[in-house]
Amino acid sequence: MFRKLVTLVSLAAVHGEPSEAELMQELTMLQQAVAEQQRTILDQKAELEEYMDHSRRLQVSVNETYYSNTIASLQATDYGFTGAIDSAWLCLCGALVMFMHAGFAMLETGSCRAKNASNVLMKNLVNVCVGTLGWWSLGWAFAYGAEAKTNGFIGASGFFGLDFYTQDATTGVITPVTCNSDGCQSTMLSWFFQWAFCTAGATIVSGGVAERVKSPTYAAYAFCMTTFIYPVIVAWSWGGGWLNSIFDVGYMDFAGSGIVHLTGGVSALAGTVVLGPRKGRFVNPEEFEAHNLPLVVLGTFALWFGWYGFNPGSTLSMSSGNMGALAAQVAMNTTLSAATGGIMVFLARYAIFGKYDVGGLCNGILAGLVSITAGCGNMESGCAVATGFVGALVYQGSSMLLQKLKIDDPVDAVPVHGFCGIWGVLAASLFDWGSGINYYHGWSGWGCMENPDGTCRPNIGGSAVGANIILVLMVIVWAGSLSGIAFFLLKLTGMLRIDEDTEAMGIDMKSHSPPKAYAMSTPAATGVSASEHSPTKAYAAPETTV
Amino acid sequence: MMKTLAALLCLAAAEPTLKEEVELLRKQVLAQRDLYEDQQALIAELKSRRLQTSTWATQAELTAQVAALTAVDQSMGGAMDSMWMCLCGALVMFMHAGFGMLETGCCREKNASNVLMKNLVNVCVGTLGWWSIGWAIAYGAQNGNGFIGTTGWFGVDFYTQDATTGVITPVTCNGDGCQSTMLSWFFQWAFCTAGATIVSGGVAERVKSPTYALYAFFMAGFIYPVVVAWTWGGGWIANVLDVGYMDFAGSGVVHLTGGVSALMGTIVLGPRKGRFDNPDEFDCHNLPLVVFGTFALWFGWYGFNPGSTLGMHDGATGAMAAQVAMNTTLSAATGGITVFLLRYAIVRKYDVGALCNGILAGLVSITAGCGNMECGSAFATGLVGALVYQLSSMLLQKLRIDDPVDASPVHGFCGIWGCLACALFDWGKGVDHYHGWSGWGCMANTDGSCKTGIGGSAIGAQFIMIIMIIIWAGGLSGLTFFILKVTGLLRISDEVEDVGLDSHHHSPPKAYSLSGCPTKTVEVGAATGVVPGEPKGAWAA
Repeated sequence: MFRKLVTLVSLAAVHGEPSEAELMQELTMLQQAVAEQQRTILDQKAELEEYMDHSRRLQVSVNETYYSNTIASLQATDYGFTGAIDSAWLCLCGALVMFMHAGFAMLETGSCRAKNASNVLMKNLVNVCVGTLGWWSLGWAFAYGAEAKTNGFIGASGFFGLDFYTQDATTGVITPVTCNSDGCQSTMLSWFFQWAFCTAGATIVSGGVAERVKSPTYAAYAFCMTTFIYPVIVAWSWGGGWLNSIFDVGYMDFAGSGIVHLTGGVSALAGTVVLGPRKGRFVNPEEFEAHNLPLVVLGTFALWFGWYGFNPGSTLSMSSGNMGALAAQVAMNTTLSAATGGIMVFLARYAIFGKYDVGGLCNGILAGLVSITAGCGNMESGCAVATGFVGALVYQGSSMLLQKLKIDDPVDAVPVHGFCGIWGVLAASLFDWGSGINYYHGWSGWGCMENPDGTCRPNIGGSAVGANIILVLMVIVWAGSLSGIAFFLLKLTGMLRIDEDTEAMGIDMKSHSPPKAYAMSTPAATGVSASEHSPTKAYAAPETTV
Repeated sequence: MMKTLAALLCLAAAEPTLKEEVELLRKQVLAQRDLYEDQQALIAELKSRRLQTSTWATQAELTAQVAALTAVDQSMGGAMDSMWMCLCGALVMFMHAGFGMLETGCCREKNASNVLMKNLVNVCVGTLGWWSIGWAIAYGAQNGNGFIGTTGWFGVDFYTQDATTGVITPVTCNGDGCQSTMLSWFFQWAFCTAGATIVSGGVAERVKSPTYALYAFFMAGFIYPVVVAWTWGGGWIANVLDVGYMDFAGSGVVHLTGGVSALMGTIVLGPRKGRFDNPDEFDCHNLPLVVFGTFALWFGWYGFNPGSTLGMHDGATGAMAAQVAMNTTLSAATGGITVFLLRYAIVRKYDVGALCNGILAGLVSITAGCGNMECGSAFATGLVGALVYQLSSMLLQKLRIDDPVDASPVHGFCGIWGCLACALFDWGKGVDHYHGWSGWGCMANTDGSCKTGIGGSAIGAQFIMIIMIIIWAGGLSGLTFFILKVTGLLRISDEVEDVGLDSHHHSPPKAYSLSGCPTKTVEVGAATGVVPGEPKGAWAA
């Protein structure tokens, strides 16, 4: 409208002298235009006043800097919270996992004979100490050094905890690495949490080789296990190596049925096969009963307790509601599978032998726990019950198989951690809560694995199962063969097994000071028999010695 | 402007030349167009300065929203601190299980019940001591005396109550997010009773039980709290030599206090009867308990050390807790394996008990410096701590001082080493700068630059702390035990010591009643006095 008017005005200016009629016409038009313009301008003024009204707009003091600083400060606080809450979560969960060492030690000691109790305790303690130094010096760097992500096989930075932070050359002020600003997970946090897993994995082997392996040899093996065998498997998987993207889907092992337990279990199998059975194991089996059942049960409960750091802690963070819900799901699944596994093995044993077997119940609980460890983060609770149920059968079957093959595994480390570890990895891909075998959740937690456009990727269930089978095979090949070779070489050089004299006498008497684990009055040999239990007593007195 | 236009219009009316009028109107149209365009530009600018086009935020609204978010954050900070310290406090409390099992396993079977009881009574009595007077002395307001706190007896003053409504406000919580006094009470309670329990190990198997209970009250109610008042409570050692002491989680404040008191107790009590004549009789009676106790202590230490960040609401603190956990782990493992190897080199036998004590030596050694040194230094701290433990343990044996669980070598001597290591291995640059309590950053001048030339003062401050703790705790404990000895209240009679405290004073009269178990062929060994090396069953008579 305005433009038209202006044109009109300028047109008028161009035509020389206008007639009076034309002038009158223009005058009228202009008067109308002026009136119209005034109305528009008044509207505009009203709008402007609205904008200018101080009660309805930001005041001069709320400038962009103030606003963005305020937001940035709030965000920094929240970011700091995530770092703090992740650290609190993983420090506490790491401590729980560390307590599993108490569980392993009590379980293994209680399961062995009284004459070797000190030695088994020592093996567990030495395992933690040596394993810690191994993880610090080499292990962490192999497993989580940044190179694993590029070469897919092994990391190579962070030896001896170097490079975990940077230090200002002038002031000496320290900045932890991966903490660009305040809220973050430090490298120390990863080191600590994963340390607990590494030494736990190594301890599994100590159960399989108990009561007959030479102690310094085992200590050396524990060092190899925590510096190389286990860390390389971690580099392939959790460390971001080649198994991570295999078949375009990648493996799924939430907390380590395969990475930790199968690695430990298959190594224990290699150890126990190469070592051979304990003297007389298949001649007088009743002499090999657990010597202290309360310790076995305490150990089992300590392990179960520690597992609530092992599995829920494997969310590896706790800074969102989703993560919290997942941790709760994991805790629920862990609980269900443990209980199912325990009661199933107990009933199976009762059906077979017609006696209550407390040790079998304990191992059933552990079988359930190992089985659910891989899949606790991508299956629903019903599947967790199924996982524990099948895990119990796997444990019982493999335990009987080993007995049949006359392989002597003193604490059933291989059936519990090896065979149930395999089952756990498979269960993680079979019971994944993705729709059918079409979709797959895996590491994505509540959501499906997605295409780049955000839709669920179809037809990947098969690849996922395949990827987990590859994980199982590679762990068996790597850990089994390396451990097997290590034990075999040690056997050839005569450094593996204690001599027969020591075995008959007990390692405690021969090599320990004090020479026995218990200095207690001898239980009287009364004839009361608890007929319903197997073994028929909670404490086994030593067999006559020499 | 509009007014001018109106005036112009009036003027035009006064001069009714048609042409002029048209000219005037043309000008007016053009002027109004300019005005329109100016205003349009202003509107556009104002629109662009609004936060959004749909809704408007006022200053008041923004301030209110920011305040609400800040309040949520502060509240979450308080919640996270409370969660962290409640859980860490519970871990530290579990160390009592560790102490209980370790000490019981280490003693003789005939006194097992008594040692268990001593640990239980220690926690119960110590808790009442800490509640009634301990906390107030340690953390009450000192009013500038630098020596002792005087408010907060019996947990009174931990909150205020509105007289009319009865609404309760926890103290030190002006807003929502804060640490309450109860949180400090609980977390520090665990430390206090842990410190007192250390003594129970040193005096085990020969001290009269009621006497020890009284001593535990005195320890938890006075001796330990005063040391805390000087240090963590903000007293005179906190800024001695302008730098102040550094003891992150209590190598000195807790362990040395307990260790030196244990040493005084065991010296005044004298050795257990026959300890240096038939040492074999004094072997640990139940090694699995010893090992379980060690693992439980190690586990609890992850509350003791990382929890001593005393908060958990920002990333830097989180990273510090992780560093502390890593250092704790490394020192424990190094200490354990080093003592084990040393013992093997000396006696050519595997000594599980020593391995356990080595782990504890490593843990005690790193407790002071876990928050201001790097992991390599933690390794060194554990290594030296192991040597300190082994040497001091041998020294006590040589001096015929009978410390049943090696409480003073582990907690006393390694506690001293821990305080020194903390100053020596501080990750500040050279001995020039010092980090101490400042964590990742250096101790700074008021202008924010690093203080220089303070490494020496820092070491000096540690010496002062060590000496003062030895004088205070050692002196008071020694005096107490000596007075008790003079009055004959300290030590059990010879007869009770021979028979065992359990059968004399306890009901049931023994810790184990295993003989109900049917056993197979058992060759009962000779009566007491096992000859070492003689092949025997593990259940020695």
